[in-house]
Amino acid sequence: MSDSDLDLDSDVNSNSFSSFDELDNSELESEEFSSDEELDHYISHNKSDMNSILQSVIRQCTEQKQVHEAVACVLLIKYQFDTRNIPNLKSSTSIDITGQYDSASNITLCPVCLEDSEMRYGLSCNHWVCTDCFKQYLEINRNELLLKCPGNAKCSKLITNLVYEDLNISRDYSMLLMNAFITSSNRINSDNARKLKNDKSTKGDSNDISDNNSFRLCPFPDCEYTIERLLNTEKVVQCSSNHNFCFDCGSIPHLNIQCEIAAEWLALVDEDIRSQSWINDFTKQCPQCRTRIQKSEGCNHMSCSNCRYQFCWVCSLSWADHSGNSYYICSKVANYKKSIRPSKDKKEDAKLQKYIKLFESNLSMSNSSTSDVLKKSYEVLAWGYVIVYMSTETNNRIILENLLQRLIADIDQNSNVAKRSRAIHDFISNEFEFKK
Amino acid sequence: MPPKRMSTAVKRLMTEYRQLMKDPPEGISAGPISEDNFLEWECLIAGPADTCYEGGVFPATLVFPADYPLNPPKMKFVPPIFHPNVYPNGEVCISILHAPGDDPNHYESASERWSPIQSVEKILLSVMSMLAEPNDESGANIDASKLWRDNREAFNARVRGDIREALGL
Repeated sequence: MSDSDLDLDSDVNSNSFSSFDELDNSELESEEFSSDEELDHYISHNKSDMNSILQSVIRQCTEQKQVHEAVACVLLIKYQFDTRNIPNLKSSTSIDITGQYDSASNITLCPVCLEDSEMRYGLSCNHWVCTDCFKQYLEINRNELLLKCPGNAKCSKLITNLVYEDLNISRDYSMLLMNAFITSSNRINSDNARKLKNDKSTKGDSNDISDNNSFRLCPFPDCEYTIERLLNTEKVVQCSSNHNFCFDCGSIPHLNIQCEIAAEWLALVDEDIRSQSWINDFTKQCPQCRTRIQKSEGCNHMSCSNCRYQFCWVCSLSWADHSGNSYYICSKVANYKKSIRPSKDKKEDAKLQKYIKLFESNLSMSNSSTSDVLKKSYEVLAWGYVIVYMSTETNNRIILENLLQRLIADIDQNSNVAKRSRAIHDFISNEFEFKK
Repeated sequence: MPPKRMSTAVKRLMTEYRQLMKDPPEGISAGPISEDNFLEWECLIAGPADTCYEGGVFPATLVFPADYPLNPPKMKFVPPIFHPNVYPNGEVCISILHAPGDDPNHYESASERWSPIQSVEKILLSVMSMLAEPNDESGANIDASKLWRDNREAFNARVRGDIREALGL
C-alpha cells in the first residue's frame, strides 16, 4: 500500500500542483472558485422576466405565421416551441378560435349524452355536442393544451384557450403554457447539443430565441427563478436567491460527476434516510440483546421478546432501576439517553452508512462554511467520497482516496486547501469504473 | 326517492346496450352483468377468422368510470389471454382506451384515441382487430411481444394450445 502511495504522490505532484512549497497561505482566499466568470454562461430570470420572454416568443410566432395569438400558442405547443418546424397554415385549417359551427344540421341528438339538446356548441369543422357535454369535456381536460374536437372521433381540430374562456372554464393557462415552454426548451437544447456534437458547423447560426437557449426552473421549493443557459460549459448554476443546482439534472451540485452516478447515489442516501427514520421513529433496540422492538401500544415497561430483559421504553434503562410506580411517565426522563443507532449485520450496509455519514457531514460543513474555499473543499470531500464508494478499485480510486486524505490534513492545518481541492475537483474528471 | 335524473353515463350505456341488442356486430356480444349496475359489463369476443385466435371465444369485463363517456372504460380479459397488447393480468392496452392526456407524445401517433363519441361497439371492434393484428411497438406483455416477433410459429401454437385448454379439449 505504501509503495503505491509514494508512486501516486509523484504522479499527482508533477501533474497538478508541483509548486506546493511556494504556496503562500495568503493565497488561501484566492479566486480559484470564483463564480464571477460563470455569470456569462447563464442568466437568472424572475417570473416577470420569464413571462416577457414567453410573450415575445408568442408575438414572434403570431407575426411570422399571421395567425391569432391563441392559435400561435397552440402551434408553439404542438411543435414544442421550435418555430422552424411550424408549417405555414391558414388559421382555420386545424385550430379553432371559438365555437363557430354551422347549425343547419338534421341530427338533433348530442353524440355524447345521446339526448335531445337545443343548446349546442361546436367548432368550425361543424361537429357539435350539447353545450353541457362540451363544458364537461373541457373541465375534465382542464390541463390539456392540445385538446381535439369532441364531436367526431376522426376530427383532429384543436381547441384554443379562447374556447375555454368562451365557456367560462377556469384554468391557469399562463402557468400551463410556461411549464410547456420550459420543458420544451430543455428538449430542444439537448437535441441541439446532440446535433452540435455531430456537426460543429451548425453552431450559433440562428437568433431564434427558442432555438439555442435552454431554461430550467430552480428546483428549490417556492423559488420563482428560472435559469436560462447561454453556454453549455458549466453544469452548476446559481439562481438569484442563491440556490445552487446542477442545470443538467436539477439536483444539488455534484462537481463534474456524471448526473446518472450522482442520482444513483442520492437515491441511496434518500432511501436510507426514509427507512432509517421509520426505524428510529417506531422501533428501539433491546438494551441487552439489541433486537429491534416496535412498541404498538401499552405502557413503558418493556419486556424483550427475545431475551426477556425488562427495560423502560423512554430511557432504555433497566426497569429495575425505575423506582416508583409510574408506568407511563419515565421517572428517569431527566437522564434520557438516546438509543444507540442500529448495528446492521450486513457488511455492505455498514459501509454504505459510513459513506453516507461522510457525505452528509461534509456537505453540511460545506453549507455552513463562510469561506468560499472551505465551502468548495468540503463539497469536493463529500462528492469525492461518493466516487470512492460508487467505483470499483482502480488506480484512480486509490489516488483519489489518497488526495482526499491529504485534503483533510490540509484543512486541519489550514494550508494549501484551495490548490488541493482544486486538484481533486479536476481529478474527478478522470476515468472511474462504476460498480454494476 | 330515486334521483330525478339518471346519470349521463348510465343513460348513454343503456342506449348503447339497446343498440347492441338490436343490431349486434358479428362475433361480439356485450351487456351489463346485472341490471342494477350499468357500469360493469361482461362481453364475449370471438377470435377473428384466419388468425391463431380463430375458434376461441374470449370473455372480458368492461368497467366504466362514473364520468363515462368523457373518460374511457377499462377492459380486462378474464382469464387473461396471451397477446402482445394484453397485460399478463388480462388488462387490454390499446390506443382507443387511452384518454388524450395519457399520451406524452400528444397525438403524434396516428392511432385513434378515446373521445367521448367513441362507444362500446367501437372498442370491441378495435379489440377484434387488435387480435388479428397485434402492435408489437407498444408491448404490454413482453414475452408475447418477443415470441410474436421472433417466432410466429411458436406464438401461434401457444395461443392455439391455450384455446384448446379453455375449451377443455
